[in-house]
Amino acid sequence: MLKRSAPESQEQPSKRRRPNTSPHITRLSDELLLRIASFLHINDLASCQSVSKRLQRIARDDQIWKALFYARFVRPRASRIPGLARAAPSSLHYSSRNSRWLQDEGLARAAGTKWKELYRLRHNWNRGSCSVSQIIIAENPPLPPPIPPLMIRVYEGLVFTVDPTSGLRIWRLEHKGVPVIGLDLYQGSLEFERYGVPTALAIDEDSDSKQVVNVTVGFENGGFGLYQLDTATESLPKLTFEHSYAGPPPSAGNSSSQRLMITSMAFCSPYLLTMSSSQLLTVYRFSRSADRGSSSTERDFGKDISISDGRMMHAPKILSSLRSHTVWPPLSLSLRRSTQKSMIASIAYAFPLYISGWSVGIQELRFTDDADTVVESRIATAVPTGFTSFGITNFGGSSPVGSPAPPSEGGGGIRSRSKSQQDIGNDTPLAQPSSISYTHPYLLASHADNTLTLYMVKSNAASLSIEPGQRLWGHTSSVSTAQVSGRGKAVSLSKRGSELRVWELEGGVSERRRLNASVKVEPQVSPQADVRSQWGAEDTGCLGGFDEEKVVVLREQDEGRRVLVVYDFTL
Amino acid sequence: MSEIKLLSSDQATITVEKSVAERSILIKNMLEDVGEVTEAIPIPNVNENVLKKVIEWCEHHKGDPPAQADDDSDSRKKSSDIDEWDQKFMQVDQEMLFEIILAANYLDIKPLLDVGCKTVANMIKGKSPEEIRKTFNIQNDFTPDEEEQIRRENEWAEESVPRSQPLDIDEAC
Repeated sequence: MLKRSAPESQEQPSKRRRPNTSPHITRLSDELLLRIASFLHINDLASCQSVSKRLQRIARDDQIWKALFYARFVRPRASRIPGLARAAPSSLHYSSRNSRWLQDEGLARAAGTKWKELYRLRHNWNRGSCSVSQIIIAENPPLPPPIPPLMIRVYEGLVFTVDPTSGLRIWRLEHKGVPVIGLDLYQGSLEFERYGVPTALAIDEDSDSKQVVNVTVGFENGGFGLYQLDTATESLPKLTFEHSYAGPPPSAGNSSSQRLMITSMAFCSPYLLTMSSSQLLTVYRFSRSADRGSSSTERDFGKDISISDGRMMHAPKILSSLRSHTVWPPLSLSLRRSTQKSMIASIAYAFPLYISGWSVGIQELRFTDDADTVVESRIATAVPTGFTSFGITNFGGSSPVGSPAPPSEGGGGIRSRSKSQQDIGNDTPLAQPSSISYTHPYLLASHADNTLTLYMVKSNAASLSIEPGQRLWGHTSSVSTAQVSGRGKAVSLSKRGSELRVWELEGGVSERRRLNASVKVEPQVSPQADVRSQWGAEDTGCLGGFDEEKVVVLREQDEGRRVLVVYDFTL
Repeated sequence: MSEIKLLSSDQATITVEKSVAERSILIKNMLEDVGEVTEAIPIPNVNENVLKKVIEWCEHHKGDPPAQADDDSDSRKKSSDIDEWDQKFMQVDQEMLFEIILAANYLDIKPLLDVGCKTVANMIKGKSPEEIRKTFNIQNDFTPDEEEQIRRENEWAEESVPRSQPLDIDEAC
């Protein structure tokens, strides 16, 4: 049927004889070339970009990269999330309703998303490839040992640090190494004598307005301060940082000040959650400033904390204060909005089991904006897998071993029994976790035995529960810190700081994915890199935090040298 | 079984089964609008050779389920899976290949358009920029400096993860 030789047309055969005339492919419209490009893999698209200017334009097209992004990063996620998997897969393309919540926070806000850059970023995360840079934040010991701790948080490309000598400082990651803005903590109504050294740091998670970032610092003696960063002006020296609230002042003459020390905080305005070293959990709510100054603009409307005119805020109301006798560190405080009007404060913590090993628990307190007390409080624990699998096999029976009471056998018996079940290696962690991070619904604990445990928390109107933990392998040394974000992305760091891993835990991990749910971050070190950028044997690392593009690690060297190590996945 | 006539750009009349011609959404819509037609339908953008080739494809595929409305269904995803008959069908010179793509686009025959585009994509796959230029006789309009810069910008994509295993991280622990 191939009638190639039929010379009906005048011009076309002549074209073939003179190959220098425009090639056939150029007859295709951009639309058709894009259609062809949509069948290519990224390495072929990379080649096409070098072919000619026209093909470069085609191979860079946002629609192509958007489709690739969805195919690789969004649809596989959707299939792993229970509930959504049942939806017809074809409905999961770019329909805005689905993509809105499937997209990462960083994506949603970008109208002119650069899909190719975004693809590249995610590609680098998946492969653990990044560049690394350092910001030296303290060269010499400012105080005689013991060197006071430095708190660190990462938020939207900004690194917040607080320590007693340098106060609250902000480092802007895109301006490498430029010390940005510092604020003396002990100004205004805060006095060093009364407040002591800073011991906790939290950033307001309710970031409707990108222009203002609220920061709170907790102190050794139980007080806290609230600070506000105005990023509206964008340009670096103009960031303003104001001290907006101090309090509550520690009661004078309280001898047991050590027991009031704020060890952990969570902030989602207008709510503030603090935990003291004596395990006293306090929930504050800042008042709605009805009497806001006339200088407030429209963008402040509805914002509960507004001090755009630089005035002090009103003292917050204490909504609840609870003392726990069963909560052990490490713990993780968090605040999240469940509906428009209600806020859930939760505390995730570790606790020792009767026989051996440790487990985790969670307590949720629900508040509404119009009530001044806790509306609801509930608690759940991750029953160790040894008990659980036992319980499941006897499910429905009246066997006493199915009950939560410890069975009569020894701890070893329980573990070997659990190993005989399917979930080998899911045995109860034997030691206290080195860190706990909770961002609903992910509860991630790190352990000194080179593993992590992921617990999925289920919280709905009817109940709160924690699913049995899943052990995650990957590290080859003791894990000191792990942090998880709401999209199931987690970062973990070894104690010596040199081993950094990135985890994709969204929707939990299946048995198949469990062994390689992570990738080791291997930064590309330029040959002219500082010798001191190598991790020394005596260094310790502390995970500062991460955002969409970067991971920040605080590296503490001997003699009090402190360095922020920034892993940049935009390369 | 009703038949209709098509008139190619070079004034050749081709008689074709109506159901076969209706693989073309353009013709299908036209017939729905006009109703019964006795004279030949002009297809001004397609010559006889190409039109015959397209009809050959339509005849072979007349039993296929109708094209899915969803443009991005997974059936489009893998370019390598062109069925054997289509692969043979597409073993034509480049001129004919691009003519078929243009005709399929004009006549609105999505599955044929995809087969054509996949065929071109497969000709690109695994090739260096220089090989792609040779294959399609494309002029390089970059300066060496520009080319080097583009190459560096795209280094990250060169050793990519195959798309068949999209999210699992390819690292042995």
